[in-house]
Amino acid sequence: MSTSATGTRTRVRRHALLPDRHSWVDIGFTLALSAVALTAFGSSFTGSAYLAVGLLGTVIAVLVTHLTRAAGWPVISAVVICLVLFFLLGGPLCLRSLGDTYTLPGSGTLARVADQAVFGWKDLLTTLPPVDGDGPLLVLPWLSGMVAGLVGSVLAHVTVRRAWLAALLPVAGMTVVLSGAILLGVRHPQSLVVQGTVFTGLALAWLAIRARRASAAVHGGSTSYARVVGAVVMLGLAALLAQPASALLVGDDSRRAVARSWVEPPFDIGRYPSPLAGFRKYVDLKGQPSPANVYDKTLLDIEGVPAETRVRFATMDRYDGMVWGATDDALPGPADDSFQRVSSTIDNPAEGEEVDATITLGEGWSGVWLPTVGALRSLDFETGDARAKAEVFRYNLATSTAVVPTGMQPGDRYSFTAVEPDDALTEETVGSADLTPLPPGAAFVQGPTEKWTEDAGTDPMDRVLAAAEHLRSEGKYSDGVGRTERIYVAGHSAWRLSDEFVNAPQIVGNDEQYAATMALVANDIGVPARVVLGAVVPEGGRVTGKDVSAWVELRAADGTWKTLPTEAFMSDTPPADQVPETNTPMSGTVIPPPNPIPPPSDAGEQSDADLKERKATRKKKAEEDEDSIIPGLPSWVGLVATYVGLPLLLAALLLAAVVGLKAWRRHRRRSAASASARFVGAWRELVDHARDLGQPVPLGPTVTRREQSAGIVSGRAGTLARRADSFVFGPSTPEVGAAATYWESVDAERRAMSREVGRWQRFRAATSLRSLRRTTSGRPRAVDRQPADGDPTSVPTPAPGRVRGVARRLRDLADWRSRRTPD
Amino acid sequence: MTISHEQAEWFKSTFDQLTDNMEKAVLGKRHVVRLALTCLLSEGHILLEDFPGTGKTMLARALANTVQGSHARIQFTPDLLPSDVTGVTVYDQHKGTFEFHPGPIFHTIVLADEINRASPKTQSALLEVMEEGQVTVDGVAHPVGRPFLVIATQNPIEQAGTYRLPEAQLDRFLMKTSVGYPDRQATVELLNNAAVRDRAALVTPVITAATIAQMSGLADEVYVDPAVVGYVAELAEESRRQPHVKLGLSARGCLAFVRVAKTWAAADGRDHVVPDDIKDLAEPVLSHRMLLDAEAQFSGVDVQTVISRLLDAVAPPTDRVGA
Repeated sequence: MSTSATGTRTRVRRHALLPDRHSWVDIGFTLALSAVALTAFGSSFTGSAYLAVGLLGTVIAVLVTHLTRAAGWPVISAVVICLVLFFLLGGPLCLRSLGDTYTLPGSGTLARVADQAVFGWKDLLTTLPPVDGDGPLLVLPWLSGMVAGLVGSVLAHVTVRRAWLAALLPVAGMTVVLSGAILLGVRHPQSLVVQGTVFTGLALAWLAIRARRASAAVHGGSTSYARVVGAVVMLGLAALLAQPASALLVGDDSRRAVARSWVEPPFDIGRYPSPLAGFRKYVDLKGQPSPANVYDKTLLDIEGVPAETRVRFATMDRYDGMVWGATDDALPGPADDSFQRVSSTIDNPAEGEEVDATITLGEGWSGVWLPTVGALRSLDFETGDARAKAEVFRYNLATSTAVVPTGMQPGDRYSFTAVEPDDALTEETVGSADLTPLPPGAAFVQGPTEKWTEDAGTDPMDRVLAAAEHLRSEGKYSDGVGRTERIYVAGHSAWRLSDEFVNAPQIVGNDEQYAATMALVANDIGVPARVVLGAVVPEGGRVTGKDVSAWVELRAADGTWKTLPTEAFMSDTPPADQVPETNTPMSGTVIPPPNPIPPPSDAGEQSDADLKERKATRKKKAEEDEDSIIPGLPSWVGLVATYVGLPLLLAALLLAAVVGLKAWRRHRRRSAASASARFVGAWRELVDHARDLGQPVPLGPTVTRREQSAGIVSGRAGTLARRADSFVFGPSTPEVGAAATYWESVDAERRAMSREVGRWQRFRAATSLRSLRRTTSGRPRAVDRQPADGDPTSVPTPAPGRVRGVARRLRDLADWRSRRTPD
Repeated sequence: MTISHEQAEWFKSTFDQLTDNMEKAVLGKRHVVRLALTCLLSEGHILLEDFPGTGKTMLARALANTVQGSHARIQFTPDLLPSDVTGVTVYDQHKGTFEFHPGPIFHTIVLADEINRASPKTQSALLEVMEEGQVTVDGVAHPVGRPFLVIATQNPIEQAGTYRLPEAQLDRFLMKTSVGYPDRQATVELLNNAAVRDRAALVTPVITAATIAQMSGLADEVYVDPAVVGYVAELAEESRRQPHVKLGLSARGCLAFVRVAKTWAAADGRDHVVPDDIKDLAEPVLSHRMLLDAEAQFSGVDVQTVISRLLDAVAPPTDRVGA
């Protein structure tokens, strides 16, 4: 505090404008760790703009923090300035796609930046990655980078009493930033191991440097760069060793926690009725008036695809006893199998022939479903409120089904790029072996399935085809239109499919019943199946209601979905006229679909081929991991073995490597070329053993054997040092035999020294890295060149000017003696 | 020809016997006693620099008494003449010839007390005898015999009326050391025997001059490995490169270093020199041979500091040359 004429004012501590050496190190590590942390967004954004924006935020935050610190301003000022810069630069940097590129942002831009900063997180988590790299969600890496810079640079200069805490704080802060970035990432990042390894290496290096710096500041410790470099090399080696081990320890993707897994997308496809249940609006009513019927109305005009291409309206992958419906969670467990928001581009793993198509919806189209072809890669709305539609547009990668919850209107036009996978079902196609539990209420198909496929052998696909053939050959087709056919009611509930279809005297129905039944039969046989409502594009590309059909997709052994066309399982022969057997009023008009049942989470194993394959692989791998470690034992044993046993095994390997390295070193010393070198090596072996035992042995190139012997707690160290000197510097050339005898003496002394300590200390000595460190930079310490009593082998006394160091050394020696605790 | 193990052991036991004998007079200063004996057996001379009352003269007298030979004490004063030290040639009227009357320098052990009080001219009178073991008067050389040891003392704190020893004179001394104050135990023992007024008188001769000469000859035969020789040479070179050093170790100094190291090793019962011998003897052998510049004084750097840095700068050998 200083007092001036105007009163008392606080004297703030100012720092140099240019960072000092330590500050440069902290800034460098902050930038590096921030860059590594920001790469966690790499799988969430397209391009690399996210990294540039994030790093810019970090640089700005670091710069602001340093300048405010140099000016002596409080930390809060740096936070405020960063906040202001965040909003000022947020528009030009992150909202360019929305046209907000003004240098001075208006209120709208500021509000949008704030909106993205607050609510963008959920948008990012509920959008199928990657999102547009130049979209408004760039605000998130911009904010993250700035927070990382603030956290790293502010915490690096926080003053705390405990040195270890001061060293740890910024590293911990950056680790929290990384954790946040990972939580916002995806489940299967491409470079998780590399990212984790680099981050860990950098964090440990920074921690070591800061700890060393703090220790030096507090205790006057050494700041030898050789040790720092040594530590960095050790970290590098550890990182290299950790690379193969990390593949075992990090687990598979299903065990990784990301916020995306917990955030429920604000969309429920189960709210919408099954399009299959309304199939009869596409049938020919033979003149009966019905405003809902679109049999002869144009549903859509498609350009860019040839005739016979299948346009998918919706994929229904779950039967609940009432209807086949689409689900939000087609695959069990977390996966990219729900209806998620997508950006203009979609990271779709499906492969096939690429098509660029444009669809214009016709007068007969209404509803939320968006007709598409194949697996989408990108989609652009061209009419109406395109931006609004794009924002609510959702796509399910697993079922290749698109929806626009706000609904599509006649005249809406959109173009898309997609790939058409090879979905042809051939004789060579092998059905998937994955067993799919029969949906509830569908047990009625078991008997008929057995009966229809009893001659088809055991191959699941053959049985499916046999059942399809039976349906096609034995069944009749009827849309339930006409007086005599009204008994063939609409719907595909368990009752309709059981009593009125497969168990009826005559199998009669249309696409709805046939496809629903066929999918259930295939599932019963063991081939995962789903129902697709769509249309086959006619010549000219104009799709009307009469082109709509329902077909079945079967999952092959290679994970792809194969199309079982409608003609393969549905008869086109009308039934014989017969009098209705029931007085139940029926109508040929569209029967309202049953109320949808909220989709349960345990949907069947149905998804897009590649996703499904990845899912199945993960599941299988997880099961194998649990089963194969110790078969027959509880799963927790496997978990313990994985998370405890493997690290222990890795640690044991490292310790064994240390022991092996020492053994190899001993062998080299023992078998040195010259006899005198063997004497020298034997003495070094004794010194290293003493060092490993924690004894304060003087080290360095200017320390002689006698001086070292003074620091070794051993009865014969002095004698052994004299013997080594006499052989090495004596008048006669040392012989190999004498060297061997000397080695025996050293070995005996080493054993005697080990017996003096407990088992635990012996273990620590055997695995200690102390003696593996080079000591070329050391200086002779604690040894005097003038023994007071003239006895060269006695413990020397301090030399002039070295009293303090010697006293410390002697204290160390006394401490070591007192710490020795035999078993 | 190298000294044998048996000879080395005999050397050690004799050396220890001499040390024990001298310790009757000089309490608690075994190391300094050993240095003085080493000097004697190396046929060199020793300069004791210490405060008054620390036992310099006692040490010199004890050393003289322990050897069966003559000894003399020269109290150096400003009016002391060279002839007072070396002797004079006088005319014998009876014989009608000039006859040389040897001065006090012609003894086995000569104590040059407070040598820096004499004029440089008188100090220089010691140059020849200390280096060559002879005195030349009127063109006639007079050997002083073997063994011959000069023990000189000087007081470092009284500068008035003193003449600093020239470098050439200092280089003649094999070693320079200080006795230092006795420790508590030695002081108590000294006080308990305060009735003994002349402790040097307690020391009786235990060795003859011939034996001294024999031990000197044995010490010359101690083996010095080339690696150790190289270490000494490197120390000498490094001493000339050290900052603040105006004058480093000379060739005479190197020779003295090796010579004294041999005796030191034999006194330890060894037939060879080890690097520890060099390090042990570095300070007494080097301290008076290194001349620092004026800046060193202002920087607070003394000779001991420079020697410490020197030893830290040169790594001793750990193996033989060519191994």
